[in-house]
Amino acid sequence: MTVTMRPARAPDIPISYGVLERSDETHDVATLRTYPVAGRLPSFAPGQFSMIGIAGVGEVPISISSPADDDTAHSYTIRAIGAVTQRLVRAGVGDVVTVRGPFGRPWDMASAEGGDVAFIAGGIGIAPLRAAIEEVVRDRQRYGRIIVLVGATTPDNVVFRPWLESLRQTGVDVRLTVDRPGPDASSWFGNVGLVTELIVDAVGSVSRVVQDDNPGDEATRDRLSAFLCGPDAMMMATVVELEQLGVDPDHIQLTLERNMQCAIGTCGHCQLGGLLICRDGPVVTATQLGDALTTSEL
Amino acid sequence: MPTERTPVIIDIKGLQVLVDVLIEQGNEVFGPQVIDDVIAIRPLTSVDQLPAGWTDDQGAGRYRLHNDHSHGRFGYAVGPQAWKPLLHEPTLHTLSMTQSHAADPVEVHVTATRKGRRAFLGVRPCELEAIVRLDTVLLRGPNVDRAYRSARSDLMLIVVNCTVPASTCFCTAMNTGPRVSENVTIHDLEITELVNEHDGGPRYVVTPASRQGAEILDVLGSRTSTVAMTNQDALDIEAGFRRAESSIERHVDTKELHDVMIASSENALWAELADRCLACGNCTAVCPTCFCTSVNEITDLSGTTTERWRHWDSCFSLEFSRVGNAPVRSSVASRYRHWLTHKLGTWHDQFDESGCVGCGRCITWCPVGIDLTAEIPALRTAALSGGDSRPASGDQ
Repeated sequence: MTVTMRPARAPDIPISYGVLERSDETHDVATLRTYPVAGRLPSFAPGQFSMIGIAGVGEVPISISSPADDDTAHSYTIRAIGAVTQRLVRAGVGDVVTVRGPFGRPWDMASAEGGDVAFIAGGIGIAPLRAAIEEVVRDRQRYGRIIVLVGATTPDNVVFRPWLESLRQTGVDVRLTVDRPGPDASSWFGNVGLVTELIVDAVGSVSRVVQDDNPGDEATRDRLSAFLCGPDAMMMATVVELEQLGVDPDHIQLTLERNMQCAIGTCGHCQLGGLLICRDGPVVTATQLGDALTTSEL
Repeated sequence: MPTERTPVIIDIKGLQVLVDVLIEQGNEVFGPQVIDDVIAIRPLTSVDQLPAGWTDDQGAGRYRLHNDHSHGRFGYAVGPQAWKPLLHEPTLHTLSMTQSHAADPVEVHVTATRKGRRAFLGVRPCELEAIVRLDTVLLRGPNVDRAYRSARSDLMLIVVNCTVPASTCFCTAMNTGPRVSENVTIHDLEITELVNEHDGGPRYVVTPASRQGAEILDVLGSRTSTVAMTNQDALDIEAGFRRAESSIERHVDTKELHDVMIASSENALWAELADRCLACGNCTAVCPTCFCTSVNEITDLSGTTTERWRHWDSCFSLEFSRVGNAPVRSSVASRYRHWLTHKLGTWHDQFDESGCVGCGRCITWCPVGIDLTAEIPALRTAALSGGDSRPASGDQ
């Protein structure tokens, strides 16, 4: 997978973007739609991230979740976890945030053309996948089946639920699952359990059909490409599941998060084994990743 | 590159002329001096400031200077800090941001990087190799570190080969010394100190290594008496390097070391090392190639103005690997493993070279005397036998 990236002109200097619109996705997740107020970022590709921050508080790496064909306004979907993200999630319309970027290697969409595509997300992991899903849906004649599997802790924590419902209307195979349906279990018609439990039914059938048509043909195993984003443990289990179904690890892409600070490969914080995640990721293939996620505390 | 690399020989007065010429040409000259009982790098105007007669006695967790009254000015191995603090500053103001109200654009003032010519006199071959490593990380990536780029421009590097290695040195294993390698091309002059205790003061064999170095040598030739190198001098130099090489006690087997390190992730040695390691970060502070930094933002009371500072950081700190609200590497074992695996293994994956130059500082300055050269054999044995949890037994 070779995707060339274009370095930003002054990638270490923050520029100002204003909050055009904000939407609360869940009790602790909000999406900020931002527009340039002084200077603007270079074009981005789905899967790339920015360092978004509040002057005096700090900055954090967040993937751009809006479609890449809008070069001006960028959306960031943020979960309030630390000092910076808590302030960002509370930002109001008109507030100015700082951004640097875009950084990192994007999703390799070209390698998925001509085959089925599965997007598998855990929690807020659907956000870094959103721009890629929008692109596949827009160019859907280039792809086979489009599958979107989303796992969340509870129904209230499913991010982008209305958008997911609208995807389903357009023929995308959208399946949701939660760990706990909660007190309003009667109103939850989705699955209960881990997102990995959806894979065999949704993805496995595709691989089996293709392989039965052409037994022993190596090329048929390339027919499914998977794009993953979620907690490390969820992605690890998903890779195992997909590989057991015969999906080529070169065609399993994951986006990783480590402690990105400089985002230009010089501060050393985001190392994961031999990978500098801001430079070599955040999107890597399961082949590149190797056993990096199964080695504890790497 | 110079048209010829003919060395000339100068005496200590000639070395002073070299310093004078460098200063006249607008350089701030830095060189080794005895400060607070260690060899430290400081601004230098006179060869009298050099550590005349001083040598260093180094061991695991031990560093002592003593003066043996020899004529040499460079009769020590390496001090606690290489040239890293002058090139990749420990604390750096990077920019200021001003924003009066949340809805105002943020005004950013980027701090000017340092300017001016400098000359580093007395760079050891292993230290020069360390600068090569920093160049790769900070200048050759997809993006350039602007402060490092400024610090590296208008810089003359004058190597002084190592003739008195310390017991902690293992440069021969890492191919980084005691003599500067012909594969390194970032320096300007190469100097070898010749000391004959029965024959007056020290003499310096100076060889140009760049066009700039050759030009300086031309000026030097017009200002002081230089003599050509004799066959006997050449033999003395070679004998000196052989002596230096054979005095190096520590060794690291670098054959497939990358693979050994990668295969060692589950070795029980890491937990055993963690029982000794204080996670103090001394090894990362003295390592001439450790480059990691963190950014801090400091605001005034009104929150209007923010100063962004960058500091050296250490992978031994708990904060270093924080993602969300928890560190990835919470155990000391995982942090020690990360540091050593990065130096000897994954640095190759990231930058196509080793992150270790064999200077031995991490051994000397470890307060509990952890010695990587004593630990690697156990990792290698376990990795080669396919075992994944061999307890450490130190030296083998």
